[in-house]
Amino acid sequence: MTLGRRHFVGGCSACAALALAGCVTDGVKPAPISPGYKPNAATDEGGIWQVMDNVEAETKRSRFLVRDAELNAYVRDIACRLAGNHCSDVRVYITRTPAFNATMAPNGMMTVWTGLLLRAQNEAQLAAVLGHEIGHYVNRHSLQAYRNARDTADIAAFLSIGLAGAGVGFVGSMVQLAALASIFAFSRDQEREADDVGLKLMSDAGYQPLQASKVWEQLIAEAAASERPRERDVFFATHPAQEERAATLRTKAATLPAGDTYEKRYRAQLKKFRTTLFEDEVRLRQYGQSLKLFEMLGRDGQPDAELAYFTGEVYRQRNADGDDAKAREQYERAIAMADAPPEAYRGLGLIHMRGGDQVRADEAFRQYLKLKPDAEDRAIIRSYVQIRG
Amino acid sequence: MRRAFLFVVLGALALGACATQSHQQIAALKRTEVQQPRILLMPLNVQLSEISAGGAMEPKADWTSAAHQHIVSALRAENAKRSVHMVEFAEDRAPPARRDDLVQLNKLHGVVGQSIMMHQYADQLALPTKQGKFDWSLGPSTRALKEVYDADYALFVFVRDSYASAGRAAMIFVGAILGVHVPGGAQIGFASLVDLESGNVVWFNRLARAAGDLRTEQAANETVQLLIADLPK
Repeated sequence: MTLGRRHFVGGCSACAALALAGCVTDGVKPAPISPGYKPNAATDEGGIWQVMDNVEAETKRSRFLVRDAELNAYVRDIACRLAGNHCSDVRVYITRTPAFNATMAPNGMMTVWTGLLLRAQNEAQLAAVLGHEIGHYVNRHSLQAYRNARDTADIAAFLSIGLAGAGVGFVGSMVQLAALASIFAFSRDQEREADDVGLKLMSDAGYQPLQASKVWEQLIAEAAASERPRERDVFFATHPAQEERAATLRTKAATLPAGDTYEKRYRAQLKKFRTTLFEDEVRLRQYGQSLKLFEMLGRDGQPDAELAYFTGEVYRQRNADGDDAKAREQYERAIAMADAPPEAYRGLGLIHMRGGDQVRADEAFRQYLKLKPDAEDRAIIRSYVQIRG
Repeated sequence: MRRAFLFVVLGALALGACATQSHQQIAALKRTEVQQPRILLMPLNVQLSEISAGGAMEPKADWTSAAHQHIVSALRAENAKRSVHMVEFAEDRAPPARRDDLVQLNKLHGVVGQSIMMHQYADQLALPTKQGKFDWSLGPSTRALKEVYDADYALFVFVRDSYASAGRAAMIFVGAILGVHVPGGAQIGFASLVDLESGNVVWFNRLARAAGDLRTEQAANETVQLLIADLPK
């Protein structure tokens, strides 16, 4: 803003020359936030906070908010240990969003998406992401990005008005594009800074720093298995250059204390939500990605009936060549375990039905209804059995 | 995206015409000898911003908070003058299980209002199914508000008020010299009255002008007067 005005005085040709020479993205970096900080309402930062306070009020009311007290306390405690002196300034909201992400608003509102809880394999991985978000908060990245965007827009407007007057209107839009690109270039620097802060915070809190790079490596593997083009992915649109970041984090982690993953504690806390998290993931119908994710979740080779069942579900729904056999194998693996979900029988029945094996289909459906007599879909499953007598 | 489009369209179509223009389905409020009409004032949807030189809208917290206070007190005074009882929306007044529904009704009111502002006022954007009729409705689910607040009507106020920064003012000046039009600040919004029994939008007034100021009490009072001048009595 001040930059724009100062250049304006010199005339538009001067600001065109200055801007093209690369002075535009030189945004002034705000100082790190101090604990308990509240901005003055008359400032740009105050305006942004007020808007975010309204968003937070909406979030509190949202039907997608996960309200379980125990889970909230667990995640809040992790965020608090990482945030240190900023603990009371950070408010955690767990939202039922089946994608990998967490967000941090400038006013201290942190959202943790359930897709992240499904993907994190241990507490250290969750802490890596939360620490990264706290890094954005402490360094006031939103404010910096906002000011940069505003000031870049200022320059672009000065340029386009000067050029429009000179009769070369179309160049104006090129300049606006370049201004837009500079906003994204800037945020990559911020991501790196947030990575550094996050790594330090998690290591200081006793977590294994190597898990930070593991998070990104898992994401890269998952994205590579996706049928969707990468640029349409919600996460990759805002977090580019993963490979480089994973490598940097791995190198830096090697210089820090080994730390702990706290995997057991994490799994125990997530246990009662896991079914919902899996269901939400399967509902996305992103087969390639889900299969890769489930493969990674089962990497430790521990028997996991639920994981086998949901892997079967993805194969059954994808229904590509050979998927029926794979689905059947997964359902049968689940059924062989003591804690098999009854739905595995239903899946098996549907696969047999599709394959024309009515006797086995009926057998599986009957078993499903026996194990879950009050299943919501009991009427239709019963009709599958009854139609054929 | 849609909202941005709305403002561009309104800015282009409306600023030349008169500042307000209303539509109504009723001539007067329901009123008996013994009882004043009761109007529920929904949470204000008001945001004040400063336009940077480049046209970025910068939200202003202090201006917005001041505008909220000025608008509510002006509405309170005006309704008292008209012998209308005004009730203010307070989320915790409803039992917890119903709160979300009432908030959703508030949002619906806002969305319908923005649709009216867009489609009822410009011939180019008129909906073919409406054929010029003013018959918008939120539907009878608004009775939930009637029950909780014991009100006959709900009034919804939406305003986006922007002011040119020093840099923007300079842009406008230079633009004028170069023959390029640079838009400055504007006051765009609406007031909408819903009958809580039927859910019908019984009165609607749109405000669109490059004047007015919600930051100070007196000027905000002028805006409120303009917004609800022909609100049925």
